[in-house]
Amino acid sequence: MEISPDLVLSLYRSMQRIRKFELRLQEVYRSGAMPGFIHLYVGEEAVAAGVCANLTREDYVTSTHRGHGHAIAKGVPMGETFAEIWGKPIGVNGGRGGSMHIYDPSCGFLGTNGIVGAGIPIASGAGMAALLRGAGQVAVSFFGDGAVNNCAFHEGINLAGALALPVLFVCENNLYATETPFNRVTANTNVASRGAAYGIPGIHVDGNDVLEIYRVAEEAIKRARAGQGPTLIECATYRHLGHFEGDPGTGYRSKEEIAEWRQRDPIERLAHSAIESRLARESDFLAVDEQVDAEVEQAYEFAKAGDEADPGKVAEFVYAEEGS
Amino acid sequence: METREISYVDAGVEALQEEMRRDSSIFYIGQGIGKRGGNFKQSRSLWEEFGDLRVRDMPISELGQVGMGVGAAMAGARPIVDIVFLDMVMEAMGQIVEQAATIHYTSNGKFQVPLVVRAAMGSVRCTGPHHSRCFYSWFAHIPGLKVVLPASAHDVKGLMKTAIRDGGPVIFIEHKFFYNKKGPVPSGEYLIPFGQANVCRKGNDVTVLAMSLMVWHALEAAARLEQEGISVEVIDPRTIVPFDERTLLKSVRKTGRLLIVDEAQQFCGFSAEASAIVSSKAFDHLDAPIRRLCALNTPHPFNPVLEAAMLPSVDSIADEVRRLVAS
Amino acid sequence: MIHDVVMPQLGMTMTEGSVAQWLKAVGDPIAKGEPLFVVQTDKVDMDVESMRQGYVIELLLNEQITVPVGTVIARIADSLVADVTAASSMTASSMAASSMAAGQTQLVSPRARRVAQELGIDLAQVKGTGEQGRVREADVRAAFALQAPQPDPARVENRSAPVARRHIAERMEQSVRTVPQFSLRRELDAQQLTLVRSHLLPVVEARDGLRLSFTDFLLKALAMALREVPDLNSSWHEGRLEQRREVNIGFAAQSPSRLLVPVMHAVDGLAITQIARQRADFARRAKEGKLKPDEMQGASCTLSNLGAFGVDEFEALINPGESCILAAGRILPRPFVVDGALTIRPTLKLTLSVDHRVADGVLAATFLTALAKVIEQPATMLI
Repeated sequence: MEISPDLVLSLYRSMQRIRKFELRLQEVYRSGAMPGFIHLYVGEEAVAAGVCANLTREDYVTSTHRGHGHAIAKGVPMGETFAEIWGKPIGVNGGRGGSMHIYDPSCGFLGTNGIVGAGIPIASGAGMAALLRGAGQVAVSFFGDGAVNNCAFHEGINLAGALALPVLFVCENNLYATETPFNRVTANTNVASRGAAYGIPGIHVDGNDVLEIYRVAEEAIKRARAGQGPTLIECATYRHLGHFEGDPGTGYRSKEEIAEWRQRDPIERLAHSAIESRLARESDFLAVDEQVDAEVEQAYEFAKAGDEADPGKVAEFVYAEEGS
Repeated sequence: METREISYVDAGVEALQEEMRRDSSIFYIGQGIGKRGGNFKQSRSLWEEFGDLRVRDMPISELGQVGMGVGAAMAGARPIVDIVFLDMVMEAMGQIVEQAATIHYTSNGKFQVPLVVRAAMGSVRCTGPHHSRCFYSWFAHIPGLKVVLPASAHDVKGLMKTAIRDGGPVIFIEHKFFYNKKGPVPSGEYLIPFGQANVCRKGNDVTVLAMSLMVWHALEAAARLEQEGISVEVIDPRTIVPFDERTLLKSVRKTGRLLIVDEAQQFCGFSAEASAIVSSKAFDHLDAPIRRLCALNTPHPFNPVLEAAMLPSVDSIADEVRRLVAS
Repeated sequence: MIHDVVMPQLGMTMTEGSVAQWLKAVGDPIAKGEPLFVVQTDKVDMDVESMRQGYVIELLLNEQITVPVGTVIARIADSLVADVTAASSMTASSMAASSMAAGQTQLVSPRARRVAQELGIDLAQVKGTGEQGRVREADVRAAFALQAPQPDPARVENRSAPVARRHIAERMEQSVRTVPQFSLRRELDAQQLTLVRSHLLPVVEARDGLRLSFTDFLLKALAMALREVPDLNSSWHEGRLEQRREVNIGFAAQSPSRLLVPVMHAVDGLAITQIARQRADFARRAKEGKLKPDEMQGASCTLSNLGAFGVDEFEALINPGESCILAAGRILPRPFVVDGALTIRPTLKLTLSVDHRVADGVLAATFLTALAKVIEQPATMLI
């Protein structure tokens, strides 16, 4: 795979967009201004960025409760995402969904999800529709280690394999399902090996190496588009923050473990290795940082200025129009 | 339009064939629905005509099947997921309730989920505890789902078409007993809109609201009661969501007496909802308390004597009407 | 849709009425404009037409029962499919009004309560046939049916008087109570009158198909006399004498069952044949119950002719609101003195009753003389 400066900078930008967005969100949330609760993606940016860099607007993505990164990487507008998480009517879903129910058909984003694993068979379904349509679309399902022991994982992936659906199943194994260590409740902790159970390739990847993720995803997506069926990719990664904002994340994880993983920060890693191999200059990265800061700030301002919801609209969209 | 006598199951197949010919985005999945044509022959000939891509056998993965249906619907297709037995739909409840029913609302109208989940409820020849349930009211309780209970060959065809063309999730619940029963079905194209009850028998003394197979039992009971000078009006709601309360209220305003007959249990069943609607909106027209005749509050026994004791029958319906008239 | 049929307001003074006869039964179709029932008021029996096309689904009032104007007395549905009683709007207070007093435990269905209120039935008097003695709709309707008088020819006492009778009774009481009336009598030579009539009878019959009656001539004569003595073309009303511009005369169209008094307008301007035509028309419509309320009022004077009933002479009571009433007996050959000699002449005995507030004896006598002159010289009716 040819690693161009453009690719590096675009992957860097993608990860920084997620990182800075999440951190700004954290600030606002801590101020008490936002309703509900949020699950931040800080530390896992390489997965969303690396996979989504291979997708077009017409491809589909299903996501999780920790899905802001997927949404932004897939192309859901940042300001509307911020506003949606804030519960504002100018949000991408009118404030009706919030963090765990972000939907955007304009870029094939089939939703973050409050139900663990639910997105897996949904992505298979999108793959089925893609097959029927025959236009070469693919679907990607992001899920965590918590989902791999759920029926939805088993049924959704088996179906994709049996029907040779154009789907990519991406497991973000951050070692903990909410606060439960993966290895405490799982008989076979090698997620990638489960691919064999469904007759599909299962690939293990360093989840903090965005270029590696990009390469593996690129290949899997090519296979899918060519009608060669689904792939399971396990990304070994880690979340720097707690399970949800308000959870320090240290009650069930050691400080040492956290520190160790922080050293493998995917964004720092990419910048360092690119600068070392002279693919790009520090100033290039700083320039991107500045631009992303501005973009995030703009998104914040957009969301902040939004009005409160109109109670009169509470009963809209319960049922779809006939025949639509 | 001329009519011909065909079976309930064949009427459904006709609807599917005609719709799938009309709209190439419709596909049909379920266990054994491909070459085998389905447990009850409810998908007979579809695989031969439309092939693997649009008519696909499924593993026993109800959750996976319905989840796929949700995703495919969101991505622009029109899936029909045949779970065959209503009891098995339980395995997929999460995808139905948390996903299919809510996405249109939660996405602020940006996504639609035009999904049909098809299954058969009720008992025939002692199908037993795992293959006889009638919990259609659970779906009715979830905003965003439409719930259809066709009770005749004529209705199943017209309602199936409407279900397929609906822009949202529809739970389409047939009754196993009906499948091989014949009835008059028009030969041309027709659709039955949702929310339009069928007054299948007119009467003046008592209104009987009955669902699915109970409609047939109620009609038989009404014919007997006619001999005794009791005139019974039988209403088949056809769809629970949307529910045609106008027709029911009109009828009760006329007769003043209501009996609800349901193969599902009484406690927190749909009969409770219908009672609440009538007692609040037609209070001054009730000449007697509303009565409900439902399955007993037990799981479904296999033994035929026990099953018969548990379920409403033509006799018990007639008895209830007589009690209603006397009260 | 269900439509209420109410007791109609016919004429300004009507406050209540009854159904003399239902012309349709429950379940019958009815066309717009088709008569549904015959209403009975103080003034008139008349057909009431349906305002709608549909089916009669409820008849709520028994015949001969008086109810106030505006009472719902029947219901019509657009179609038998929508064969339904419309939702009533029972308020909490109306419910309370019809509920039992504390301590009593009579069970009453909501439907029965509503119907009881509509029909004015006291629930305490109703026996329930439902479970635990619950009163149902049928029980209330049964109680209502028992209230209505049964049409039984053998029963003489306790018959509720028909509305018309009651109203005539009221008016006559009023007449006696409030109008200081006195009467004058005169026996007229009716020979010329009978000759003129007999001449004209076949002519008018052949030409116009009308039968001239003495009443027609008397009406004309009365009109001419009222023109000549205009003070009597007036009435006493609340301390004032109201002069009328038109000469309107009521005439009693007596039938064995009822008294109706249609009013002919501007009689002075009418020819005899026109009077005859109008009279015949009024009589026919009176029989068919098709008189309009405004055809029953506006007279200053009434003619009551009992000649056809074998009465020689009689005294009539003034209709309140009028100034006089002329009672005419039969024309009969009687002993009469002409030029000092006894002879037999057809004579007519008139009794004129006059409101003393409007006229004194001399004026009344002047009027009677003027009247007599016209009648005894009927040729003057031509000019």
